[in-house]
Amino acid sequence: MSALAMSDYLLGAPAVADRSQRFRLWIDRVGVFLVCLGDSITIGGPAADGAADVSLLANLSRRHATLSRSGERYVIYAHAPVLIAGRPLHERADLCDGNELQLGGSVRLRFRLPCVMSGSARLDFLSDHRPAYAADAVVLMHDTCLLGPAAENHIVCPDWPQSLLLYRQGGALCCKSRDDLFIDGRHSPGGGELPPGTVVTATDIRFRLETIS
Amino acid sequence: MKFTFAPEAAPLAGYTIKRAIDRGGFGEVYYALSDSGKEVALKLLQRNQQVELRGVRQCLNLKHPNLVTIFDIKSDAEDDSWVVMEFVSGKSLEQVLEDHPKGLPIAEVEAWLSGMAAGIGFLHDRGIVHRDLKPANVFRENGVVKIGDVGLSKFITPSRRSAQTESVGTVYYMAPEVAHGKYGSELDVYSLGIMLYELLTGQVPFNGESTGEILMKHMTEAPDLTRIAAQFRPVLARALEKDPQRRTPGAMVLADEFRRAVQGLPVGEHAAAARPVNGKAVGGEPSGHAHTLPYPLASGPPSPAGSAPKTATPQTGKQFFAEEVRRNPWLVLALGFVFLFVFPGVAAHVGWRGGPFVPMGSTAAFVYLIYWFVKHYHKLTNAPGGPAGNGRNPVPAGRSPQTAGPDPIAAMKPLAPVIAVPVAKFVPKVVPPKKGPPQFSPATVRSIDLRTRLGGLSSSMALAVFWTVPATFLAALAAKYWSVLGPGAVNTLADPASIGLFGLTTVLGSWAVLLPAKLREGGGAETTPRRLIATALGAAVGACAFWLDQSLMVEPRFNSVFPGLFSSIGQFPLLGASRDPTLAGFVTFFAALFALLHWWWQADGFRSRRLKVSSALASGLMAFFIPALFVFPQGWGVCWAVAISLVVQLSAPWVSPGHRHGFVDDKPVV
Repeated sequence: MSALAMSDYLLGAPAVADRSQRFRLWIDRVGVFLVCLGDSITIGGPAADGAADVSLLANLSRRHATLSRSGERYVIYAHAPVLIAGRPLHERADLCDGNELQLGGSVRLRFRLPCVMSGSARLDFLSDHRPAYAADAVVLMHDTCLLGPAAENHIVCPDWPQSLLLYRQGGALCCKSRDDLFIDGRHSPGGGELPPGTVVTATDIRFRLETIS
Repeated sequence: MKFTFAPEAAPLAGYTIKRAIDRGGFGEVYYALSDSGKEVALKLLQRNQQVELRGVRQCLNLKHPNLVTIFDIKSDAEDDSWVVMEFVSGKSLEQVLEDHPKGLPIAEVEAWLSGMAAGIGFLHDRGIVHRDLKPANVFRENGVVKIGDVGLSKFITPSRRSAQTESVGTVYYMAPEVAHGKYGSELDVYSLGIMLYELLTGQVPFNGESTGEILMKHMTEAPDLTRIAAQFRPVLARALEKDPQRRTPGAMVLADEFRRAVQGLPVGEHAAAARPVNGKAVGGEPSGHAHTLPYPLASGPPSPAGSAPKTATPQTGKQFFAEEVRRNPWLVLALGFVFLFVFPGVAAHVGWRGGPFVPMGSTAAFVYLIYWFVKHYHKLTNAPGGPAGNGRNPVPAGRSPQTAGPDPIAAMKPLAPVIAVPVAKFVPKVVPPKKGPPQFSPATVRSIDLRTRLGGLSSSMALAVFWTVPATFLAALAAKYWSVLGPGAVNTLADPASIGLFGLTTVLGSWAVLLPAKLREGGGAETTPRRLIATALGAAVGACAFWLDQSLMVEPRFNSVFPGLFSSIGQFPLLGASRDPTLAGFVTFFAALFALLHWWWQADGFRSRRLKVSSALASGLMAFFIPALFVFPQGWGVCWAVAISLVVQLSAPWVSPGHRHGFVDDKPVV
């Protein structure tokens, strides 16, 4: 598994790697999070085919906006009306932590960069619009994604005893924690690689990684 | 927390478990997807299965927008029962309250209350009592309030409203009559009243270390309504009545009364009009009143509602005054000033010359005392002037004060055959204090990374320079117009050199507070080391002030209302020949000023408010009294202390209470 390329890891089909670099984290007592690994994601409304990476049940264009990561910066490209902090966006703009985005007439999202040590970002849903399939927030994962009790984690898990780190290594996705982890029932002290569909458990922790096809 | 079923398990045909949601009082709850993708909550009934099943079956076909819909009850291969429910994705009221430790805005309170009342009113109208109303069971999704866990509900019939042998519900929201095994619809109104109190204040009215303690408070203690705005007190007083018979006669009535109170309409008369007539409350909602056993005398133990200790023995004006003197330091200070004004000889005797401070202080004290007297007039005279008495002695709305007290005869009249009610089996156990917004203070230990620490320090030190400008301007104004620097000192701060001395010393003083406070922030109280560091830095500030004083050739005009106990430290005089403070004078004053106050508390991100004027005044007060020990120009000292306090508070970063919980956890593993 260590030599598995990220695209293989996720899909096994490089042709659709761009679309497929997403997975869901189902976390007990916390929620479900859509994690996007690509450097660029599209946000849009529902569509029978060619839906956006984050397809919301909302009155939006099929591809309403694109968020791109460039180094440690995030840039938003508007393909349809977008407001940032209440001001109309013309073409593109850099995003900062806490920026409120309004897509169309009613979809409101908040862009967060919760941890200064990581280039990963999170999109919170402020309005009631959600993707057709459950997601409490979207994580735009760079190299690492932090899960834990403190506010600076990308996914805040209030009752967890300590944080857990998801990271990419050699094209594979791995996790690391001080906690005694079990990966698919195997004792993995400190962490290890996470194949698709893995269930990770520890004291007061359980989550499952689900690839999106 | 371990759960029975793993993700992707399918114990029920047609549903796949995706994750566990929580473990409730009666079993585990999972988030699941049907084969076609419909999201549901699956509740596995483990303990008290029969109790729960009976309740759920009754509610299976209830439809109301404010109730979580129950889709079905199913059994798995192991013959365990599952309740298939609507999944509500919104935040629970418990989470919302955690985000609002001081309560919600009134419009939000009204929205939550009206939604809950509509759902509960509907249940009561169908003859069902929820019995487990609590913030964790109430959600809001797309703006619609939804009440969950109706599985604990019971049919109410006159024969079944008592004789329950098992206590259920959550103790913070449990009505007193539950202790006597009574489960009428009034207990939901009580729970709703407790939640209304919590919505308004962020705290439950009765808290304690153990189940027994909290229950005892429910049964005997009057809720402290002084924390509630006056117009809502009658509403709360009535909803939290110990006696279910006197309680607000229905959830919808409670919401209606609250709405009227928000609009400023009289609640009392309305409530009187809304009292049940022939067993029906206004709005067509069954009140449950007609078949309510009179709680006070129905069972053996001393009746808390009948005796209603605090209601029956109101505080006298004298007791109230004594309590205020104990609790309110401003009242004591004001009385002290008035005493000095009335008996100037006493001040002269102790060597206090007074200067402008006695008339100024006395005027302020008189104004405060008038305000205090007007505010608490009815409590002092013990007159039932307010709508709810003094707030601690709630008079039920809609009743005259004369009839507000317990009336055993009247209470006995509707007594049907007295039923020997089995007292519920309460097993007192230690419970953690009410979960909710934890109270964080500057003494809260937390880890702050160096980058954040240095960032906060540099920005606050830069801001200190900025805020010193208006602070110096204010001090100059004070010197010019209010003569606070004493006779003959007018315009002392008007010349550029004086302004330079004052401003630069203020900046240095602020930095001397900010530097250790920010570098040691989150390290706990550590009072002694902090004080030692502060004293050393204070001495350094004093030395710098002396150097500035000499360089700028300023002569801070000496003035002090105290003669000063020490005019020299050893062989070093504190004042020079021209009554200008010497190096020893400056160093002593600033070292004392920094040693005697908790300056770091004012600079900490977890201080109670961003800017607390009382902290600035306390700092000024300390500077006012230091010259009583060590001679120093008192006006300058007071102005410096107030200015440093204001500048520090305005410059230091502050974390609002709602966001503090995120700063106290362990740092993530990277």
